[in-house]
Amino acid sequence: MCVLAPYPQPAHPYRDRTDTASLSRPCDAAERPPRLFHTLRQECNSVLSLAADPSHLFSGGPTGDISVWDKDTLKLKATLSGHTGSILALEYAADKEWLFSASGDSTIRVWSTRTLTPLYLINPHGETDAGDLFSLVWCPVLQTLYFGCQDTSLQWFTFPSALHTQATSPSSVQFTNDDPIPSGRSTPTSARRVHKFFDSYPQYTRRPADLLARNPTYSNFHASQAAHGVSLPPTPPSSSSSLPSTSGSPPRGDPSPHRPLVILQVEPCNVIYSAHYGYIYCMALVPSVREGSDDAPLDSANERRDLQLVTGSGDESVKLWQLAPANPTPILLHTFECCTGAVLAVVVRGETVYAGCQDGHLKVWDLETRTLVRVLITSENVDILSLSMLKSDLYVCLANGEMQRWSAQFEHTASWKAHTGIVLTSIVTRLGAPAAADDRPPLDGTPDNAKFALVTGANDDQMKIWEVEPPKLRKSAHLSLVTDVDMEWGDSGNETMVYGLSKFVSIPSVSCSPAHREDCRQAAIWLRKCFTQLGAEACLLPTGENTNPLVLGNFRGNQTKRRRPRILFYGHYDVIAASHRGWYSDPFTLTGRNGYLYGRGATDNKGPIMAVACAAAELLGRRALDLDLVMLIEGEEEAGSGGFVEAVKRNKNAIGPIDAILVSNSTWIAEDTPCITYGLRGVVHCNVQISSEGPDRHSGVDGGVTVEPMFDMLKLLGTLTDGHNTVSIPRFYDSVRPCSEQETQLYSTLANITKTPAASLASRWREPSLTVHNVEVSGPRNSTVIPATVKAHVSVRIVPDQDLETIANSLREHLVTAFEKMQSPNKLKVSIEHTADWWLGDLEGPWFHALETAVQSEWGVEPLRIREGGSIPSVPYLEKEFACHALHLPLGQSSDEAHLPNERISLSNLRRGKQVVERFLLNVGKSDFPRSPTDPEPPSLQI
Amino acid sequence: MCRFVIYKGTSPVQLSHLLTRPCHSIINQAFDSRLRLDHRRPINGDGFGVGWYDSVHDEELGSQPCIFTSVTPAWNNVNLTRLAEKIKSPLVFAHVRATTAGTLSLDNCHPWSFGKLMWMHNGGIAEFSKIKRRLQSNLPDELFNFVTGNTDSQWAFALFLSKLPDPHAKTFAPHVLRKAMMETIAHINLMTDAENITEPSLMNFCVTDGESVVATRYISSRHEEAASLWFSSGTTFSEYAEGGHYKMSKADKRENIIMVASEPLTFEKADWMEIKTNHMVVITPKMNLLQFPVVDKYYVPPSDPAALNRGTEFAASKGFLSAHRAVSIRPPVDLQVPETQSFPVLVA
Repeated sequence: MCVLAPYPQPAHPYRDRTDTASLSRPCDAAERPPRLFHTLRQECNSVLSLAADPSHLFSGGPTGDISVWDKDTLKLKATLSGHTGSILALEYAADKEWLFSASGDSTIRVWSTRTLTPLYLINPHGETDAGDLFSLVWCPVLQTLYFGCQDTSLQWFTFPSALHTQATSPSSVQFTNDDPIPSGRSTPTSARRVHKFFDSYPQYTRRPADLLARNPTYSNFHASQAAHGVSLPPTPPSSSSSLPSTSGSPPRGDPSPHRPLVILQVEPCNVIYSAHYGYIYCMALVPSVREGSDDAPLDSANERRDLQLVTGSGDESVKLWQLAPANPTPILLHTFECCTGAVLAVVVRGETVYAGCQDGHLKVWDLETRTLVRVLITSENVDILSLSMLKSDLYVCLANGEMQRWSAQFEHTASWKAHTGIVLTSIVTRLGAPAAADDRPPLDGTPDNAKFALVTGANDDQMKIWEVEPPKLRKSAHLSLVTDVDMEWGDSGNETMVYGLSKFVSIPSVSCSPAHREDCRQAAIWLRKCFTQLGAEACLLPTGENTNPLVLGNFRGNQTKRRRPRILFYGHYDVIAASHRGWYSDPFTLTGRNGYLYGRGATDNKGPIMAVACAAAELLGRRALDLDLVMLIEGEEEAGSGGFVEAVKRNKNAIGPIDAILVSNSTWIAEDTPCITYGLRGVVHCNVQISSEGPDRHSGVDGGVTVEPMFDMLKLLGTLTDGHNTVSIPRFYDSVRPCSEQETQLYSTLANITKTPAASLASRWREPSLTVHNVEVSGPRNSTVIPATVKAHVSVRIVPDQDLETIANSLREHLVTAFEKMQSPNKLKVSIEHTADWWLGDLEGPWFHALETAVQSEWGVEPLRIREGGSIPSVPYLEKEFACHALHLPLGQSSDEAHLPNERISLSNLRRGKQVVERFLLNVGKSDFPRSPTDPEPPSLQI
Repeated sequence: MCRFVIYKGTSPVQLSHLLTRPCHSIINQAFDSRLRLDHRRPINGDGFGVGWYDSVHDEELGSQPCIFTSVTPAWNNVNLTRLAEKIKSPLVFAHVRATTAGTLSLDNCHPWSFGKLMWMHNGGIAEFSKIKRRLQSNLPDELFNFVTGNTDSQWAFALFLSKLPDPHAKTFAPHVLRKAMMETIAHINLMTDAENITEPSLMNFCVTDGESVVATRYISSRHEEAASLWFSSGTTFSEYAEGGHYKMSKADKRENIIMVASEPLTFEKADWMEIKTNHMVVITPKMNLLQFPVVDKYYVPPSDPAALNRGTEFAASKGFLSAHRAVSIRPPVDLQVPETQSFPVLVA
């Protein structure tokens, strides 16, 4: 529960954590730049593209040849020849053992990685009109190859099932019209059409263009050179062998005369013209299928989202395309405007797209909310040419030869000079065991032989292989509950809840700290997936540029004829910062000790969220959920709920009608008796500033000369109370609701249980109060300085039936009037910063009774009806917005230490809290309560 | 009907690599144009012009381009050859002219400049005389008085300038030039429509401010092909064999060189991309080439089969082939390949 602290926490409460996390990061092994393992060099051949299969590295360059390197021996094994233009992109299809190469000669070639021989040649639609083919992606699910062209078109080729069953004997494929020409050349000359320009004759000859025009070209030149025996290109005498040889000289993978190439043609319907306005430089599949990715493969992902394609272009935009099941045609979903030069590289991880742009800007977009998450400036004015991911680590290739590594939290964790030239391309691939000759001890700590290498290619003719390790997993990413032997774990439902909570707590979603913005987003994504896995329909809703998204989940109940009740659960996934100081265990590792689960957020508010979600999931599993439970979880509660109201209003249709609101964001009044909270105080936060409008002065020089702002402030604050805890603002107590007999009775009952005087409970819960939180001065706070400006922060807690606006105005007026009376030459400024209304539940309604019954039947005792002195602004707001009552069910105990070190929740409270919610949902589902919009009775709220 | 070429590069180009040396250079196009729509005279001999920006900014010289024009045929101008060997520039416009409108005079030679801006045109506005007065009446005095020649091309430039928020501005964002170009074409169409001119206008316009380039391939017809326009981009454009045999190479994803030309400067098919009819290309200051369709009533989407079947009948009907024009100039250098050898060709 947030006791509404509107200011950023004054003394950087989260500083301690980040001290070790980012500011002075210890240089442990994981943070050093990767070690260079090997360099592969080819003279006069800059490396434009890379791919890898389990045993080979493939590199493409401007000559049109693809070099095949053996991963074990690191020697050149073969050369795949055929392209006549630069190899701009390579892609390995593991399911087929195929290599795709896209070239500046406007063709794609398909090679078998087993035999290292050419299989197919794919002509884009429009043939050379498509221009350079810059990017390639193979989608194994749709058996479709997507590629991006210079003519701004996006094209695709789907391999019919007949093809891949006969992948090894392509000559038997019958579906193409082009008869393979059994010549030594891969390209049948008959397939070429006459071109009006390139096959033209000078006009004075008045001859129509034909294939014999023989205008001067580079390839003619080489043919003629060869014919004349002048500077013969280094072709081995025999081109029949394309198999790996053991000799030192690598054979060329020229298509053998006995293996004609099948020519495939992209159909006109498989083209999206003007997919972008610029060249389509890069593309990626969502979820990522690249090696090193930790995205779940599509077929096993239990996700509602399906396949998507991301393309990046010279038109400074990234586009997101939907790939419907069984239909390879991309449908444009969204355009992300990057506005900082061409997008030369994209990489995807989960819901995140990283777009590398010209001038070193790396834009990070969230795919689901389609918001810009971050802009990373890798290096000012240096183009980003390639991006690779290993789990959550991002590797960035720059035009100045530098490589950078960024963590999932957008921390720059390494930077090293990798090449003397421009780093053009990179891949992450698994590296086999090091060669026997290498006496280097094997990398430790990498189980199942998964050693990763980052391979970079540059225009300095070099390919470098770097040893990289996946980022160290957070300890708490594994369930590391330190459990007591006698602590028994309940049924599987509870285990799911505790396991989920341990995952949830491990994400430090501290909303007050910019350093944790990405953690907050990851927490939202995690929670959305968690709800989905528990059976809800869930999505993220953006709240604004600088605020964390909402998670909306809908557990849909059984279909019945009557309209199901719809209950909204409101909670928050953000937490207060936690330093290690004062904690007995890591605050972000859920740790079980003596029946309690310790961790930041355990009780406020992650534990209750998991209890409610798991309760709904359990009922859903038993087909016993007869209502809709809408989970609305925000990420800014501890930071003032920024953007919450606007986002709820914007998405009211998605949330739908609501009949009651459930909140679980506080604790019991004591340790042993369950409670239901039915009241909250409101709050008005106010800033007061008195200034001389001059500079700070020296008291030895100017003391006594001026009216000092500090004296004015002390006098002014003194007018707020009478010195006996009574607020002196006129008419302040006028509308405070008188204490009824019944209420007095309640307080004395509670006083017995809590061993607190009844008067003390009453003043906490039902009496207004005024607090001066701090007084700040300008200048150095030195004992010789007269501060020119003094600021104070005052807050007023309000109760039923005080009107929020009236109280705020009378506070302001009182301060202004009192200051005027002082006739000071100084200037006063009063500003109301944050406000929240009080809340009082409806104790007589059927909803409250259903909840009370649920608590009673679970715990066997009647719950205490309690109120809270604190404020939750969203509760009264949601009541007004959805015109229904709110219920507040605390789960934890008074000793849970929310916001403090060693925050915890009792395991038993969590499990039984879940049971209470289950019972409550069952009660509500069975009964037939009046509901909005048929409910004619407006909620008993004075606004 | 004319020929032109545009060069924009990250580093300056020696003009000769563009103008005089390549085997199908603009100079050679002057006498050996393969793609001209107007077949009356295949020679672009009515003068030429070349405009370029400084490689190094000099405060005293300013940022406006320098333009050299001549009414003599380009292939016969020794000054051009001499200048081309000694001048380097990161952004060049070059134009050879075959008059369709206007007299043979220096005032009528493309390109023209206005402040930082430079303009040239390949094509013709149909029955321009009918809309000339209407066009002029739209111009502010400054732009009306700026036009020194009497061609449709220069008046179109004045119209374009009137579409800019401030033609004297120090810089123009690419989208500002693009928008003004769209409006210029739309305005000309509006005026020809108002005069019931049914003959299509050929509007391949080019404009630059020294940073960005906007070029159009446009015809006000749904059925006819516009005058040709091509582009090529890559990292280096170098001579692989003596005799003007150039090839574009790509050693990077990014472009160091972008050329836009009425006809390809070489016969390397894979190096040249045809700009689709009724499309506009924009070269951004960061060397990105963008291709925007000009979507109006004359636009046929490329997915429509009709887009592939635009005819050249219009151009054919406009002119006629000159029966026996004696061409005394040397043909383009052909490589000595034995006739009998069936030599390999590029992948189609």
